[in-house]
Amino acid sequence: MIDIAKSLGNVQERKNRIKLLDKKHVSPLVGFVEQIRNERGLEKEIPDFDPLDGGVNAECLFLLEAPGPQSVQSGFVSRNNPDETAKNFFEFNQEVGIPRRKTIIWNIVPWYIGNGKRIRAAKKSDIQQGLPYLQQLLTLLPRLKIIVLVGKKAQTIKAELAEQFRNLTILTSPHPSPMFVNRKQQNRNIIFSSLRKVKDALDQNK
Amino acid sequence: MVAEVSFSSTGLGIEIGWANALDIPVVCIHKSGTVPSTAISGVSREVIECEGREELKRVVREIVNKPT
Repeated sequence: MIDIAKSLGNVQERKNRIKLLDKKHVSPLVGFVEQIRNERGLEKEIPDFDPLDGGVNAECLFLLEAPGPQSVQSGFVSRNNPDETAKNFFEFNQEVGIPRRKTIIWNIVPWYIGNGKRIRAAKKSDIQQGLPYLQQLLTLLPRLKIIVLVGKKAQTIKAELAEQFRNLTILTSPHPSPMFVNRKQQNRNIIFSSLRKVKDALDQNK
Repeated sequence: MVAEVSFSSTGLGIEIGWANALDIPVVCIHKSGTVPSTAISGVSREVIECEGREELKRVVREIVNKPT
């Protein structure tokens, strides 16, 4: 298994990752994704969790907006996807030293919203449709302590989550898209600072 | 765990996943002519195709009496 940025751009690597979907730590999540696909009449538009992440053992959930076209193409919600956002996320996490086995990534809107080439921004109605699935996901993560709302769209549910899940620490981070990261030099530092808080929270909960 | 997987059902895949996660052997049964999902087959010890009630009874009896 090649755990480097953009490794899921490689077909063989994608095949290897699919083989890991029967591992114990992701099995319930495979069933969960399949359930959403059945309920919504969708298939590849809802990518699987990445088995290189922590699965049901995760202590920290990174919640983003919606899967992008590369995620649909690779079949995984993953920091190894061959796009710049995933690459940034991979590198920021590695630099801060957050162990990926303690984390899991999901989207507030679990399905692809776009025209096949370009993703559109999630609307309030998309987020409302995705929320029950997030609530169900949280019941499948017994060790979860932290939710990180990544990007403005995910952050729209901050108050609701904080109210509903008082036992969880809710943190925020800007979205690691190249548009944000490359706009100003200090934006990288803002993300670093957010992720350091995540690491501190994980370390405190040891 | 013995699961009837002829048709998709809310929560069944998750339960099968937990059984796999907890090292509980999973045997799936489905009606002849239906195709269970590959995700389900992947974590099952056995996937058995059944035709009708009598065969289903026999298969379940065999599974229950089989040493794990």
